[in-house]
Amino acid sequence: MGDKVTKEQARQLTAFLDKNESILKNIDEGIVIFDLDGKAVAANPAAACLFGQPVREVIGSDMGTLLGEEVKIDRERILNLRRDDKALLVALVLVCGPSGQTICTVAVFHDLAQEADMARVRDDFVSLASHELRTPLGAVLGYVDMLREDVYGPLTKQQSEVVDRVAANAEQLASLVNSLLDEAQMQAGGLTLNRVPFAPIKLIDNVQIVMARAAQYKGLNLTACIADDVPAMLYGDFQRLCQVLSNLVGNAIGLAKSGIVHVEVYRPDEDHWALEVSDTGSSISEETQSYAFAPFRQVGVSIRRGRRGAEPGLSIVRRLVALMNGKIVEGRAGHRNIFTVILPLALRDTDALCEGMEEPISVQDGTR
Amino acid sequence: MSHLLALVIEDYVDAAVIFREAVKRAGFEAEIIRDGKTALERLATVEPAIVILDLNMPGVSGAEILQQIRSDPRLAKTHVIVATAHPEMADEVRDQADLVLIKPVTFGQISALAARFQGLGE
Repeated sequence: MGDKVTKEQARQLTAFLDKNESILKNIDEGIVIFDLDGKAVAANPAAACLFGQPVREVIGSDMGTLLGEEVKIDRERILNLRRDDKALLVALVLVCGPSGQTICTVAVFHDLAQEADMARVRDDFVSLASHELRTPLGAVLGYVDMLREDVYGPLTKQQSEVVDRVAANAEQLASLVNSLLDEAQMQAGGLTLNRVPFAPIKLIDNVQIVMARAAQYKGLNLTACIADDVPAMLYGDFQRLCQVLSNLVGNAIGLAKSGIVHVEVYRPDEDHWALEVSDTGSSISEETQSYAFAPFRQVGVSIRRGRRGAEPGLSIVRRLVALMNGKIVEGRAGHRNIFTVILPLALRDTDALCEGMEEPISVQDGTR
Repeated sequence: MSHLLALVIEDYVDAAVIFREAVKRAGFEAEIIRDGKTALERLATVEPAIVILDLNMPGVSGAEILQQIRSDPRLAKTHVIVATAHPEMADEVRDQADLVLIKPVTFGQISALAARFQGLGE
């Protein structure tokens, strides 16, 4: 800024300010414009708000005072600035007039704390809303179960059909709420694995307990089998594996029109083990399949389109499996859908630390 | 033969009713307790075969109740099924509980699980 400020440069600056005044006033970012001597010649209300003083007081301030340090502005630059208790990101931009000479420096102040607050508020809201929604939903589903189980006496055929409709709608809602909560947790960075030794048979046990009723109500049989060469004990995040398997089975139950939902645990090769869920007699399209594993933003689309097949719970399956260094293989055989989760075989704590899969697993042909 | 006792410790009335009916279906005699303090008082006088325990309650928390059960030799045979809506709280009690369920927990799940503990405490 050693150059002498010419009258022409000053005139161009005035023209620049006049032209941009209404933009300046209405923009949410704090903006201060400095002349070539480093004096503030214009500021917008957002900037005044950040500095806690009226616009007229900001105008006339030194750049050094406002930025808290002397900054040599010879090029565009970005600074991190702390002012009072605010964390600000400042972008300094040199503006040239029509003649190509620099006429002023524009400083754009961005409040980082505000952004972080917004993200936190959003996450807290989603989490709170999910819990608040889950509790009454759980009660609805519980009373529905009791009616179906004749706790309050036998139902007529018509009453029973009404209860089925209540159940179908409440279950759909519950599944959406659950995936919303899972997604909120993941976005808050709360998704970590808690690896423990576990017996694969317990996984089957758990899914039987959790999903048997849902299968039964749809007139489906839930069957399972563990191959002989699967070790009696494996190492991994048991709770998360239960969640993966339940979600896959829940999805299969949602898709299957009749017949069997089958879970199979086996070893595709020496270094891996697999959880495979297949169903009989359903009709999931290829488009729906890739959609089934999409993140939850698309859940809204699914509601509007009235598509019931693609369960949002599969989105968390995909993320969990990725976190476990595993893969999902989707196959079809006739009308059967086969979802296979292939995971590195870990027998001990240290095994879990080994590299993820480097070689692609040979893709199942869907006829297993 | 008298039925084994199941305590349902849960402050949310609808969940409590559902859990009570579920353990009754599994063959237990059921009793609802709706706050932590009363739960501790009751546990000082009875020896339930199972306890269905909510974690988030006013006054004394579910975690404290679980700790009390585990430190009382008189209640060594009591099975505790924790039902909570908070996964992060669930992790903290996983070592001490027989089972930890994340809500929503259904009538069917509770009755099937409770049935598994029938006679195990003998």
